[in-house]
Amino acid sequence: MKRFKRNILILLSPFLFMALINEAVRLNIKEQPYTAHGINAVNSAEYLPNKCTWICHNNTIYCKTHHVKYLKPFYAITDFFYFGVIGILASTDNYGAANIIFLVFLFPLTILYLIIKSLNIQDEIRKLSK
Amino acid sequence: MNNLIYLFKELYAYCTDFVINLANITGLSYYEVNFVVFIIFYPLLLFVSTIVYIYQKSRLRTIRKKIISTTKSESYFNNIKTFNKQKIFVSANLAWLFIIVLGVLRVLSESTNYYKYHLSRGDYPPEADSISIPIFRETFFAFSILSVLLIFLNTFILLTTLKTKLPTKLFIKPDFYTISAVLRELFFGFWLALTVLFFFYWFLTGYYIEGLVTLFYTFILLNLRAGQISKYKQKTEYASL
Repeated sequence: MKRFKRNILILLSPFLFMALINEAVRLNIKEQPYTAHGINAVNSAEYLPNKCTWICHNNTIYCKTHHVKYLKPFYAITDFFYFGVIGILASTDNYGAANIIFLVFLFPLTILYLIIKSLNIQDEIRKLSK
Repeated sequence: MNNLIYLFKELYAYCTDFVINLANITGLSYYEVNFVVFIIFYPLLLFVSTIVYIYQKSRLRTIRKKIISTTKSESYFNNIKTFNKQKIFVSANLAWLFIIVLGVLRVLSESTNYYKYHLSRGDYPPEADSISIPIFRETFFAFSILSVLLIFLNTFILLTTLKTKLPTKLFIKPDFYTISAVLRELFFGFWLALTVLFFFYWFLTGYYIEGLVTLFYTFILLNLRAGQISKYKQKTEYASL
């Protein structure tokens, strides 16, 4: 039971962290939230020079021009990987769904599975050592 | 289905909002946070967690082996023995000679049926050599290919039995997997996978005798693998004889 609770906590903590951040921001946001395909987002889609919005998602060049601070000298390298990943996800014909499946479920769940298994093995090693 | 698509879109928007919020909180940009999280952090974490998992597994295996070696529990599979080198050579060659005979007979009978049928339809002139020449040419071709493969088979066995300690236990394992041991396992794993594939192929296409011979070669490959692995240090119940 203790192990089950620990695993659930490890599994849920990234999602809880995401919800915590998003809901805290939602309380303090002043701009009109962005709406697309009938879905209300937390952030707006306004062109703001001092903070990122959905415009940065929809228009990467705007974000690169106005908001990027540290990666500007490395665009030759970062763009290759950044647009490479986007290209791979877009090649599935459903960019949004591919994003969710790979980056929200498959990758994190694989990582969490490996972490949980490693912790279980550590428990077993401790028991066997005794 | 529509609900699922809507849920996915909602989740996608929520996750994108999270990245935007992280960018604003950390003082970075959406582009930078995306790059750090998905290009650096995710692959790195996946790599590190895989390495930690493999390391933990190997630690656990070592501890278990220590415990098993003290209790001396031995299973049936751990005690299956391999052939010695001579038996491997002789049995593998006999099985291949059987395949040569079988293959030649199959080609001979199939070619004969094919050409006789076409002869009966008047596709060839009625002279005896109009079909006997192509029949024997095809049969001889099959014989030549199978005979050349016999040379490859013997070279393979010769090279993989060099400096090996045979007979040994069939499912022998080294105490620790060095890079060369892993490469050996991969090498034999490839050939074993190939024989298993061929086994299913023969059975599904109705060539049951060829399937059984392939199964026998799977056993021979396991023998050769055991011989190679016996070169490494073993202290536990998986050790060589």
